[in-house]
Formats: sequence, C-alpha cells, structure tokens
Amino acid sequence: MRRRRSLAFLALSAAIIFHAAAMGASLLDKDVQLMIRAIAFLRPQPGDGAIVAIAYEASSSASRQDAEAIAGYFGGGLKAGNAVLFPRLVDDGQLAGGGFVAIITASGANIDLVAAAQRALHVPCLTGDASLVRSGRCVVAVRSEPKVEISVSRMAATDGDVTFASAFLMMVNQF
Amino acid sequence: MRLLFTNPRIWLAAALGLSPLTLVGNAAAQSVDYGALEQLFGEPVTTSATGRPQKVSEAPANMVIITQDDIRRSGAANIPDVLRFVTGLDVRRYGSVDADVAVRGYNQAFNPRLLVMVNGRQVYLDSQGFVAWQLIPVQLEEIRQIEVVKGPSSALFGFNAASGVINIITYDPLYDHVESGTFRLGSQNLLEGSAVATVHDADHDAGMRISLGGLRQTEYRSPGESPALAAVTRDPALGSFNFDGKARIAPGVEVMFEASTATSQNTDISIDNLPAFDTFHADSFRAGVTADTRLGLISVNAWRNWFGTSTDSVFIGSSAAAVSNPIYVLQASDTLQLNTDHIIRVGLEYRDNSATSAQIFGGTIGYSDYSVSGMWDWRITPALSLTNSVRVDYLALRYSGVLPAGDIYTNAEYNNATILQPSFNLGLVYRLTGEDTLRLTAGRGLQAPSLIDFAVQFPASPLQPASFGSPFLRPTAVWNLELDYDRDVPAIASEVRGTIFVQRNDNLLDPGAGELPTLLPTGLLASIAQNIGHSDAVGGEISITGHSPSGFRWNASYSVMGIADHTSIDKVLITSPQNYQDGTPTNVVVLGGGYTLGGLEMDLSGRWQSRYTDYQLSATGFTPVQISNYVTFMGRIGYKVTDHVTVALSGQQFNTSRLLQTIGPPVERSIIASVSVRY
Repeated sequence: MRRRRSLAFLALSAAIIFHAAAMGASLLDKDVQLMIRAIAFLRPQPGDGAIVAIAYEASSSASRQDAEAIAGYFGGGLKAGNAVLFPRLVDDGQLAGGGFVAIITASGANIDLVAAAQRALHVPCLTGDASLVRSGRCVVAVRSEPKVEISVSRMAATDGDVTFASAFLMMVNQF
Repeated sequence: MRLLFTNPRIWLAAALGLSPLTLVGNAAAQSVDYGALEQLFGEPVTTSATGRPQKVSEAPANMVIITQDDIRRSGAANIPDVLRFVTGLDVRRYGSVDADVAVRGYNQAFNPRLLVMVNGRQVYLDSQGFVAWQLIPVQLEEIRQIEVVKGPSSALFGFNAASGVINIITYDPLYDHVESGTFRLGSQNLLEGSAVATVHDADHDAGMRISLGGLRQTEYRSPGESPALAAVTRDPALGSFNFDGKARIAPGVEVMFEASTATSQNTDISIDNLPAFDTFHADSFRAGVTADTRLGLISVNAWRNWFGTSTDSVFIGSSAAAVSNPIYVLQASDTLQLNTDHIIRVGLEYRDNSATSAQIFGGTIGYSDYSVSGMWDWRITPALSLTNSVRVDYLALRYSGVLPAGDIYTNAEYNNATILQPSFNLGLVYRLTGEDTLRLTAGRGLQAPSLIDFAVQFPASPLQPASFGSPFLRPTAVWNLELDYDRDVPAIASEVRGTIFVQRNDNLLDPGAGELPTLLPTGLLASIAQNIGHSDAVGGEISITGHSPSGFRWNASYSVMGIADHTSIDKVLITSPQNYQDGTPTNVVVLGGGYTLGGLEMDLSGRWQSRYTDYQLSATGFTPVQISNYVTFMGRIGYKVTDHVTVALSGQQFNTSRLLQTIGPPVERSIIASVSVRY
C-alpha cells in the first residue's frame, strides 16, 4: 500500500514537473532552490516538514499553473538547513489563514494580499521580481542566472517582523 | 545526572564557564555557516578580508580560495605543495617536510612575513618568527578551504600579516560532517596516515570533530651537501592530533572549544639559513563564544599556543638550544550592520607572548600587546563599495634574565622599550558590469621583530662571532598599493584576473647574523640585530581559471616581480639572506589542467620559475648559491572505486629525479599511492 502511494506521489511529481517545464514557469528551479536556501537563514529557523505557501490568483488559470509549476520544483521536499520544506498552493485570498513559514509568489498573485499576509503572519514573501523588494512590498527577491543575486527589503522585513541571520543579511543587497 | 554528562552542549558550556541563560539576551540568529552560505551564493565565502562574511568576488582584497576539491585533485600530500601552484606564491622546499611559503617574493628560510592561521588562530610561531608547516595540526581531508590574501592585512589580523595571510578553514564541527581515513605510501619510504571523525547530537545542536595523523619518511640526501647540513640530516617524523567542538547553547549563540597537539622532528634550514635538526612541539587550547544579536555579530575568544623547540646544529651546539614559547590571546569583536549601506566592525585584542631559554635568551623575553581596530564598509552605490580598516598596536617589551657579558644593552632598556604602530587597509571595489570588477587597494602591514630578533644572545664561537638582539628594533612596515581587474568570460567559462602592485618595505629586519660584526663599545666583536633600510618592489600577475560542464578545468598564470634593496648590508655585504633583489625569482609561470570522467579524476600542474640566489651558511660566512631556473610538475590520477573509497596515484616533481630548489638538499621525485575512505 505504502509502495503504491509512493509510486502515485512520484508519478504526480513527475507530471507536475513535466507540466511546469511545458508551461514555462515564472521561476527557474534554481530560483526556487535559492529561495529555500534563503529561508534556512530565517530566525527562528523553520522546522522539519514546514510548509511554504505558493500564492496564486484563484481566478487565473495561468497563475494557478505557474504555482503548480513552482510547487513541482519541490519534488519530494527541498532542504533548508537540517529541515525539509514542502509546498502548498494557497489562493491569495486565503493567505490570512496561515500555516506556513514563507510565501513564494506565483505570477498573477495579488501582491497587496501577499504583503498584508507578510505583515500579519510575520512570514517573508519571496519573489523573482526585484522591483517588489525595492518598493518594500516583498522581503526577498532572488535571481539565479546569470549570477546569484539576492536582495532583501529592510523595510518589508521590519514591517513583517521577519528576522534573518546577520551573516546572511551582510551578504545580500539590501534596500 | 546521566543526561547532564551525555549532553555535549552542557560539556562545552561548562568548559567555558557559561550558563546557557547568560547569553540568550536578544540573540536572533547563528554565526557564519560557510557551507550553507557557499551553497546559497554559489561561490566560497570568507571573513579573512575584512572580518565580516562576504563573497570572495566582492572582497576588497586580492584573494585566492583553494577548496577541498582543489586540494584533493592537486595530488599534494601537504599544504606547501598545495600552495606551490598558486599565482604569486613562492614555495621553497628545504627538505622532505621543511618548506617556507611567501606571498610575492621576499622568501627566505623561516620566512617571518606571512601570517598563517587555522580558523583565525595563528600557527605562526612568534619566538623565531616563522611558520612550521609540518606542525600545523590539521589533516588535508578536514580542510574546507585555504584562504590566501595577497598583500598586507595587519589592520585585521595584527602583526606579521605583512606580505599576506593564509587562513586555513576547517569543516565546522556543528554544521559539517566529515568522516575520512587516508593512507599514503610512497617514495622516500613514505608512510603516512590520517583519520578524521565527526560526531553530532541528535538535534544537530552540538558537534565535535577529531583528527589525527602521522608521517615517517627518509630525508633527501645529496653527496654534495654541505658538511654543516650533512651533520644534522636525519629522517623526519611527524604526528598531530586535533579536537574541534562547537555547540549551539541558545538561538544564535554558539560556543566552541579547540585543542591540538603536534610534534615534528626534521632537518631544516632555519633562521639565517642555519642548517639544523629541530624537534618542535606545539599545543593549543582555544575557547570562544559567538552571538548573533541585535547589536551585531559578537565574538569573544581566548586561546593559548605553546611552542617548544630543541635544536641541534653545528653552529650553536647539540640539543641545548631549548625554547619554551607560550602565547596567550584574548580577542573580542562586534560586526554590526548599521543600515542597508554601512557595516562596521570594532575589535579589541590583548596578547601576551614570551619565550624562555637559558642558552638563547639567558632568561625570558616577552611582550604584552594591546590593540584596538575598526572596520567600516560603505556601499556607496550597488556597484561601488569602500572598505576602511585601521588598527593600532601598542607593544611593551620585557626581559628578565642575565644579558651576556659584552652586550651593549641593559635590562632597563629592554623593560622600557615600547612600540606603537598603526596599520590600515583601504579597498575600493567597483563592479563595472556584471562581468567586470575593478579593485583598488592600499595597505600598511607590520612584521614584528621576533623574540629572537629582540634578545638572541649567541656567544662567539670558532665558527661565528657573537650575535645579539636589540630592544630598539622597529617593526618592518609593508606598504602596498594595488590595482586588480577581474573579468568573467562566460564564452569560455573562465575568469581572468590582472594585477599590478607596488610595494615599499621600511625598516627591514636583520636578525644579526647577516650583518657584518662590529667592534662594540664594550670591546666585543659581535653582530647586532637591527633595522637595515628599505626595499621596493613592483610586480604584476595575470591569470585565467575556468572549468567546463563536460568535466575539463584549466588554469594558467604569469607573474613578474622586481625588487630593489636599499639596505645598509646591501652596500657592504651582498652575501646575505637579506639580499632580496637577488633572492627572489623574477618570472613565474604556472599551468594546470584536469578532467573528470565519472569516478576518474586526472590533474596535472606545472610551474616554471626563473633563477634566484640563495645563501649557504658556512664557517666563513654566507656563500651565494645560484638556483637555476627550473620546471616542476605535480599530478594525480584518482579513481572512485565506490561512493566512499578512492584510490589515487600522485607524483610530485615527477619530471626529474633530483632538483636543486634551495640551499637544502635537492628535492627528490616522489610518487605516492593512496587509499582514502570518506563518508
């Protein structure tokens, strides 16, 4: 029974990854890996099995597909330090419900709702759009290509009472 | 009670006299996790440039990082051989285990100009002012990276970071897990083994790493070696043990404890080119705490190094020149990000350094050194940053003992002598584009006189006149101005670096034996340690390094350096180890390449250097020895038999059976077979 479930999970994961590749996600798998590695520097550190919300716009199928693509990059979970994190697709209108340690924004997600959740739940928003960090609406922006670039909004982090390790903050671009 | 003693965190906290409650404070996060940050940013991370964590590509210093992969693939069995193929570094091998390393020339036996550390704890030996590489209690397999900083770094590290710094960073016992065993068998009857083991608690809140290693082999011999060298040539033996423990006792608060011991017995060319058979012992203890707080990354650590030596040499006698050299250091620093664009670091350090020897010092010579330092890193724009570091050292000398008859100095003069010296580093880093970086750096580093320089008292013998130290020596000040240009060339997956630098070395130190003896007012003929003038250098380096996804890697470099000495001994006595303009090779070319195919790794490195002059000590003084230009190769073929077992065959200088590289015996070809197990 357990084996059958595992096979079904693998098949589902493969389908999601294939689907993501076919659709062309807004983030690269390397971007998502970077985001999870950055989450490892959150304080307090996320525990093993913690959930990362993938926020999308419920009325947009493209947004949902992008979120599924991002979730697909997690495969069987991504390591953040000693913890393994798992994705959960969350309609941006439902973000206030919480239950996750960070929010990754899919294309089309309502950034105002994401920013509100960030402030209320004290969890960081992570995006591939650096302008959202420069404008103080998202805490972390990453880019893996052609070089790794990570930026952090000090204002958004302060507003959301989100804390990172000092060593991490000293090595990123802060706005 | 049982729980108490099985919890490593409590052990460590108790060892440090800390209660977990005392340091919780407003701590918010952890200290520097090199592995996680390297994985995040895709490049090595360092704190050796400014004291704050930063990507190597953004450091305001000319740095080279040698990774564990580089070390393994090089085929080197020791750290100097790893460094031999680094652009701008000069390695002189004086024996099978005796070697000296210098950054940008000015190399000599017992080179005093390069500060070497293990995780920030100096392994530089102050009594004689040198690094005994064979005595460093670290196995190659436990090294995460070797950080090479070219140019002075005294503003961060203090005395002796004069021409550069090498900081050996080992794996972190808290974050990294290393289990390995290596056995080597090779030429010169080499028999070497090492083992590294790491233990973590279930929650990964505490870890400890233990390593040990030992070596035996036969020393290089040469029919033509000098009688003084032949008389002290015996086979070397080395052994070392290291313990490294760390625990997270509260969120963001880590305590650490290190202990090591090492011993070596080997023939060497020691200070002032004296052939000797030296027996060295070194012990160290270190404890520290790091707290990531809202007031910054606060670090306090204390360590004690002890170095003991006994020397056998035809010039100074047999097994009588014993020295005991304890060093106590207390360091505290705080690195704080003020806002998005400004990071500051303040540091305080106290150091007590003394050496006792009835024969060499007639008592105890020592000093207390107090220092304060500051660093300010200003991101002027996202593409432009300026780093300023300043440090001031105040050194108070002391002496207790009996000065030799005929010496011109008094105990009072020793006990009143002080040194007050500033050092600084400035670095302007400008990212012209995403692929181009320009770095302009300036610095003033300091090389303190060694305790031997201050107070040696060798009586006159039939082989040499008396030689005395001086309490009035000034530190050598190394001024360096440098322009670096780094360019990524994605089309060939390579990085090109070009460097030009100019350097002024003020107050060069001569320990005495290089100086012509003079008739002292006391009527004694003796050489006195003194500052002998200055030396200027200009040089450049150009290098390319790269690797392809298909498994190829390559590197090539050319470095050139010219030195002009302006010293008192230059005028009257050119046959001296302090003749740097003839004692430094002008041109060096390094080439390397490698390929990985599945579990197979093949690497080859070559180095050509132009001629230089070394100086052999004999009863009649120093005799110049021309070291012709030479080529040496090192290579390795390794095969991963299983995920955990690797067999390898490596060769050092396999292109020729014997090669004269220094006034030591010719270096012999070495072929080494090894088996490594790693988990």
